[in-house]
Amino acid sequence: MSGARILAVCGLAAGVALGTLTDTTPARERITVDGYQVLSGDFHVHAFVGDGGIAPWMLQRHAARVGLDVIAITNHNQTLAGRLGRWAAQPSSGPLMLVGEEITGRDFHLIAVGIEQPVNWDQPARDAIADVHAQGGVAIAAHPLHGFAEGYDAIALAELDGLEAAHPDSIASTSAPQFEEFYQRVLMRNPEVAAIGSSDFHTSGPMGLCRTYLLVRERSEAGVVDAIRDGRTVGRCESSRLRGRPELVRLLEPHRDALAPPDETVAQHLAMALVWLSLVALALVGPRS
Amino acid sequence: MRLPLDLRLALSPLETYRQLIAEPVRGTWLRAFERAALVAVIIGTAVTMSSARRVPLGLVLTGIVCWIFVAVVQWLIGLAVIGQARGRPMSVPRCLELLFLGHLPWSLWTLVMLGLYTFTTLPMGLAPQVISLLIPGVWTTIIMLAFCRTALGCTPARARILTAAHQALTWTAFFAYVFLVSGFWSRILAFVGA
Repeated sequence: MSGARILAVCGLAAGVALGTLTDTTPARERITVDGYQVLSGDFHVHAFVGDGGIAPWMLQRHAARVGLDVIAITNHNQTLAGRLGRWAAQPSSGPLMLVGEEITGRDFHLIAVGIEQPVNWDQPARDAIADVHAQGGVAIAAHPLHGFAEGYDAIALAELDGLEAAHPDSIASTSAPQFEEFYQRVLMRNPEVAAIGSSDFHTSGPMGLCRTYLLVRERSEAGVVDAIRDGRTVGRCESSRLRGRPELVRLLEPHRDALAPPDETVAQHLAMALVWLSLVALALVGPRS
Repeated sequence: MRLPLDLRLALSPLETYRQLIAEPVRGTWLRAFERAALVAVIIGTAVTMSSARRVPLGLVLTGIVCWIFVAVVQWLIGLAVIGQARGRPMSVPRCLELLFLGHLPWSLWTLVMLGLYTFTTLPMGLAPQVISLLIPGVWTTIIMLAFCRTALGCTPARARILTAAHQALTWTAFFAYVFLVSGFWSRILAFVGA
């Protein structure tokens, strides 16, 4: 083995070792406002096998790493990954794992949370929402931009439980007005609609970049679904402003810093840099001469 | 200073393949496996790091196991193409080893994209990412042509056919996966207005 190859293998091992040693779950303050416990959630998470990068059975641990209390695994038009993730999760500790689906219709994308069976995507949005409700779940309009939101007619808008008001695309100045316009359209028909923050997590993270703060009566799946149904949520992307009903935003405003996602540490960056450099070196020198 | 073999092959595929087939190296399945394993490690680790922005051992190993199917599919496509070259001068494992030796363009593309995602804040639109696929796509086609001409001992016309078949199978597998996992059918229906 050449010197460069040995160095690359050692660098890879060192990077992964450092990444393992610094893989801690951040300590978090328990926040209660107005008699409700505040949870952080991400309800738009894709997993492998699907167009997500991480296996569903690894997502609970990862959600804890990024300071989330609850996630929903929402692969396109299937609930298998969500059920796998829930099956593999530690029910007694760690973040709650909810089964979900991104119902990918012709003219709408709809997040279903708290369901068991896949919902037929080849139907109007209003019927898909009714199917989600029939399973006891909640329906959230996903990234309501042009091309994903034309299918919501007046009835569908009124029946929505929530909409993604904070999403990675909502940060961009080009698409932010579309999010705002859709939010206002839904608010006109349903003032109690839940403002949801979702990362739409695929393969280029980070999970929880945009997240939802839920005011729950109890830390359980039922408590989370109830909070969304009742609109007791506030969405937020990174350190941007809180999005949601003004009275809820006022309640959470004093806790902005405590609710912020944990920062990545220098050691974690160093570990990633070591791994990346080592992989580049290995790709160039190959496994043997 | 002599460039590493993989880089030499990527920069000068025809000449490097000619040198390699002239060497008295007996191909083994282990050597062929090593090459595919490196591809699996690069892809699995890259997807894990890009997704999680963490590299703990458990997550990296799981990522490699999950995404190993990409290397397996490439292995199977390679076997199918190699099997079509009846008069090849070398054994199947040696051919597979030499085929995976030409993976550098895709490995580098994966790692460059990973580096951009992880260490920069550059806006990464979908269109530039899709267009950037052309670079490793064209580069690999050139390498594949050289592989068919030399390692498989094909005529220029036969090499073009096998290269086209290899690329068609690879892209079909890629799009089939995307199609299956991303609700693509509904998007196509929406696109055509059905």
